[in-house]
Amino acid sequence: MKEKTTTGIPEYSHIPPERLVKRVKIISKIQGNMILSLAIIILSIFLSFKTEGFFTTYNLINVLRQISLTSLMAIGFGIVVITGGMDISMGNVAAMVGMTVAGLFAIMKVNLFVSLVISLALGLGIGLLNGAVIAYLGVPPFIATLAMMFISQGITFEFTQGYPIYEGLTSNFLYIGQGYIGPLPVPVIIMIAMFILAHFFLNNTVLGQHIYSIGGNENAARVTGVNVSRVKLITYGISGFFAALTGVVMTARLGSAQPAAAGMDFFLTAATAAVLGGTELSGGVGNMLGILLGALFLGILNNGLTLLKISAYFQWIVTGILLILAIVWHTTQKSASGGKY
Amino acid sequence: MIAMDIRIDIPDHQPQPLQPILRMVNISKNFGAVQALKNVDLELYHAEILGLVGDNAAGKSTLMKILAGVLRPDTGQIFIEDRPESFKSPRDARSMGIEMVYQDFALCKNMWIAGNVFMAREIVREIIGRTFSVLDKKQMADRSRKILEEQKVSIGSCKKRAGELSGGQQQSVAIARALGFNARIVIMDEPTASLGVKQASRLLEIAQSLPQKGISAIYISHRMQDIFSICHRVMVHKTGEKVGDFRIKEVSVDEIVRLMILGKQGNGVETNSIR
Ligand SMILES: Nc1ncnc2c1ncn2[C@@H]1O[C@H](COP(=O)(O)OP(=O)(O)O)[C@@H](O)[C@H]1O
Ligand SMILES: [Mg+2]
Repeated sequence: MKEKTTTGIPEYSHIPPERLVKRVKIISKIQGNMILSLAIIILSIFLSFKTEGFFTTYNLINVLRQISLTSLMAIGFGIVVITGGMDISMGNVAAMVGMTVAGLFAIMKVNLFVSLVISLALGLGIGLLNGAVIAYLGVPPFIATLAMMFISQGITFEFTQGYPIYEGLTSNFLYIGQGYIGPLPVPVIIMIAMFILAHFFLNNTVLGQHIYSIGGNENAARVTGVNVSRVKLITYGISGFFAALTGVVMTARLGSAQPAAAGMDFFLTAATAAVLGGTELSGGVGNMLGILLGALFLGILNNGLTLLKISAYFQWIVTGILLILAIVWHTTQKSASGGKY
Repeated sequence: MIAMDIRIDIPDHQPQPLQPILRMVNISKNFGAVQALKNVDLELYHAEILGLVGDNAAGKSTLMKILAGVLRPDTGQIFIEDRPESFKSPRDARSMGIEMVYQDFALCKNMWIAGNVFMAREIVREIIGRTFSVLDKKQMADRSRKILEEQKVSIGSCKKRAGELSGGQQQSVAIARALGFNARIVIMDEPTASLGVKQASRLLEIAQSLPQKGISAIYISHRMQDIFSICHRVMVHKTGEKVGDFRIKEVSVDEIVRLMILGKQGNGVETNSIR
């Protein structure tokens, strides 16, 4: 008899080294994001020759700060999309939480820490509500979160009547959006921390595995014993949390709470970063490194086009074309490896 | 002929203890107006392979999904070793040692092999509540490879995605997931339907070897030669009802096919199984 472990699986003592396996894994990971990395490098080289200020520490940090808000939303969006889901309420939830945190802290004079906790919990709660409607009432994610988009937008404008909050946002709050730790802006630190956290979570926890399994084959996940409804519930809670975090940092960064600061436009930019980074809307495929690269590419592109004095309108056109090219490229990549499937 | 190659002598004295390991009693299930199962009974004995045959839409898969905890019956009860069980989810059924190999393999092709083998049974390192605990990926990979090697399958790296595997290899992963965890009852629903000749005969060998490991199996197939070569007993379904239950040695292919097509025709359930 073999020894039995707590999981009931036979225990084996012979464990050979897996260096080769590790190497293969790293290579295949890089390949997935290689084109994007290459595009970023080429674009950067091009811009450092064609513009004055691109390749300066100041500008590069500026790019990172510009992408930090989009990235925070893209992380939450990416996690939902990996389950095969969708959360289009994120932009408006961010705006609502951005107003809430200012309302609590600046107007109601609630303690900073408590204001932050309540605001983030609000986002989490709204996300869990989305998740409950989707997972337990069976409403399609697009519809459920579209409804939440309208609801949160309505609440924001009803309570603020469209007026921003300027007064009372003291420096301890503004530090979250405008402060520095060493050479790095605080929003950039938050972004990096969240990328690392989300990457670890997706790749190394049971819940992360289940998120991928539901996106890959929801039925298979269910029949093997994954609690699909609960995983979905938690996933929308996560996207709600990241929407809230985006909203809080945005208010601190702008120095004022604007009811229309985030919204559909902002959300779609985050979604674009995620899709450029290889997140597939059909679910099951996507990773945090890709999303970071997607956001970085988009950030550098917009920064470069601005430095080249190309209009914001034209930047939209370029973004649209790139989005199509990225999807087409991902699709051909898939059918190219189709022989193996 | 494959069937001839792998045919074994079924012992005359089938090991049948008095109590079956599994009893499904009076199971009914409706899907809207469709009555998929009407008062169906099923018994499965220790280390026995039970064949389940019937025309399309006879309710075979529905009955097995009820056993696997995927569906809940409208009426009826399930007894495992005479204890009543009610499975609220596949997790409940799997925890009782009931495993199912699905026709489409039910794999997540976007995930690595070990992730599929250990799906919903991940090996974890830190227990801070299972959901947030940390995977022991190395153990998962090593053990997956061992389980697959026991099946005499070499897949290379367990870090490959399931979608990168051939059809036969994918089924091996599905079987590894079912057999790697002290299964007591293994359900195979038309397992050879999408396999080539060679893979199908290997699958039959695996199914045939289960009783030696003390595992009971329910084997659904349309291929009579497979049923007659590996099963000890066969149960016939027609439009949601059980119309026959035979020891394989005491029935002919013709009789089974006649029942599958015509049903019991007022003769009552034909049976020669030990009660
Ligand atoms: N999820 C479902 N929803 C509605 N009808 C179903 C469902 N599953 C099975 N059925 C119906 O139940 C009957 C039995 O199906 P099934 O158990 O798959 O038969 P078999 O496996 O013997 O071919 C069929 O008429 C089928 O259409
Ligand atoms: Mg069937």
